Amino acid sequence: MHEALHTNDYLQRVVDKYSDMLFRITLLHLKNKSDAEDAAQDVFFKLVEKEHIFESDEHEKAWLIRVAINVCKDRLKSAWFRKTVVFEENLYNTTPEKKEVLSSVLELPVKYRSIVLLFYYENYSIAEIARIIGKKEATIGSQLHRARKLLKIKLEEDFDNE
Amino acid sequence: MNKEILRSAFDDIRASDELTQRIINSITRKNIPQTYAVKYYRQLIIGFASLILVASVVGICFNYNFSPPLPKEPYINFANHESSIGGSGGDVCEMFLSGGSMYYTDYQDKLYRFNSPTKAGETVSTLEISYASRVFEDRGFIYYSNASTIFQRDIGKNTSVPLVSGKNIGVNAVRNGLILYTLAFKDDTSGGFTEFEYHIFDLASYKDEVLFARSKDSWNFLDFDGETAVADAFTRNDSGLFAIDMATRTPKNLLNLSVHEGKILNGIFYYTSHDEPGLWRIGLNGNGMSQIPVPDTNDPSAFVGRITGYGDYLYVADCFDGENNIIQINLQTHQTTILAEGLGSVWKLCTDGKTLYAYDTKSPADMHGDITVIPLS
Repeated sequence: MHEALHTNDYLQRVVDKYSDMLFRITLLHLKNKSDAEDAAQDVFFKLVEKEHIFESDEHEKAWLIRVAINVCKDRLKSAWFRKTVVFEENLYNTTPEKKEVLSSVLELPVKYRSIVLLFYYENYSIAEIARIIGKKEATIGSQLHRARKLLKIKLEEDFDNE
Repeated sequence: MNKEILRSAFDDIRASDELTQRIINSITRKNIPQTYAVKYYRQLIIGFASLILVASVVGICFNYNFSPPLPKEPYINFANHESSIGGSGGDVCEMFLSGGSMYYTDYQDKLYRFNSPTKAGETVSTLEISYASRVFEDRGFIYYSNASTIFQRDIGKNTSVPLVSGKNIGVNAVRNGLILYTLAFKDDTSGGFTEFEYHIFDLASYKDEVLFARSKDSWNFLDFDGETAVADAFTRNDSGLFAIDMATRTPKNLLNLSVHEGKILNGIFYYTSHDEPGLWRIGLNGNGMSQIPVPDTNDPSAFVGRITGYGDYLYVADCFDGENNIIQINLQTHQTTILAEGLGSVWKLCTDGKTLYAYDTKSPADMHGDITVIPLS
């Protein structure tokens, strides 16, 4: 996919396609809408700054996920007090059941949250997550296992491995 | 409840239309449309702008004594300095100098000393610290929190003592024996932390005072020089950049914009903002706001991402033409020198006036980076 990066059409397409995904990642890391929005915007700034040629849509998506995680890690250091803020009441039009699930995910250690999102929502395999996050497969596997156990305790529900 | 509920819950998290539009506006504003017609007009505009630019550059060079940017090298150019690139091979969370040595932390709990000859990090200690927490150095000690206690660690003796305890406690800044810290309070209905109380702890007297009483106001401290703290604030009445005088405990609104990064140096706050690209300065009394010229060529997407400084020099990471460049700015003469160029993403900068350290990754997507060491003349 050798598309010129700095065309407005390209940027419009990328923002339309990935803003939800990036906002999910940044919100799960930062737990605060305002910080999460700023971080998602930072990811697109980095896309504009860097004239990357992506080999494929998957490469493009993985690059954006990694940048989002790096931007969040950078922001976590400068916004300690705000990183502890979870969903504001009525921020999302969702059911109490789903709100409970999201709150439980947000209570997980930060390194588990994006793994849960990538595995359960983005449908990445453990091997793919390992490549994106830059850790060993075994590490991702054990972190996912611990995350599942913690979610099971919090929600008294099981999550399968598929 | 199962993974379908989890998926469905994630699906409800969506970027608002307002955010999407804000992103589109901000990033396309930085870009020049590539349609043929616009390209044609662009050439005319560029031609005209070039004439103006040549005249401006002559004027700026005359006024600010610019050094022209150094010719580009494939990866990095350390100008006239005898330099080295040190690989930490890891993930750097915090970086600071103490007693002539550079120290850094990872995102977990390890404190490392950077060994310049071997260009590697030596483990100094394991800290009682929360994930990704901030670490502040002040006069040979470091300060950090594990969310229930703030610790003071003597780097030389490698011993720590608990200083202040409180539920959800975090350090915001430390300078000249004054610790600014926050207590976060949980909202019983939403389950989150929605109220905050800000304190000052004086290490000389062990006196603890409330700076801002418990409220929903949040203060993100950007820098603190021991007398004045500068913070990005979201309060009931106002939001923007504030300077808080520690003598009177009074915040003064400096600007109504969101600041990305800033540094107090010699009574001036130097900052960068996505709202107003470029490098800016403002007096801590709110006066004298002006832009500082940096050699970022004509790149409309240029952005100053990192700022540090020492004495009469400011050091910034300025991203232009798709690469990060570390630039030294003499604050007296405004002369600028490119110290390093061709870096991918610069995440941290720190200096003691003798050496400048940068933690950078080849791409913003890389999880591990290098520590670049730049001796300063």
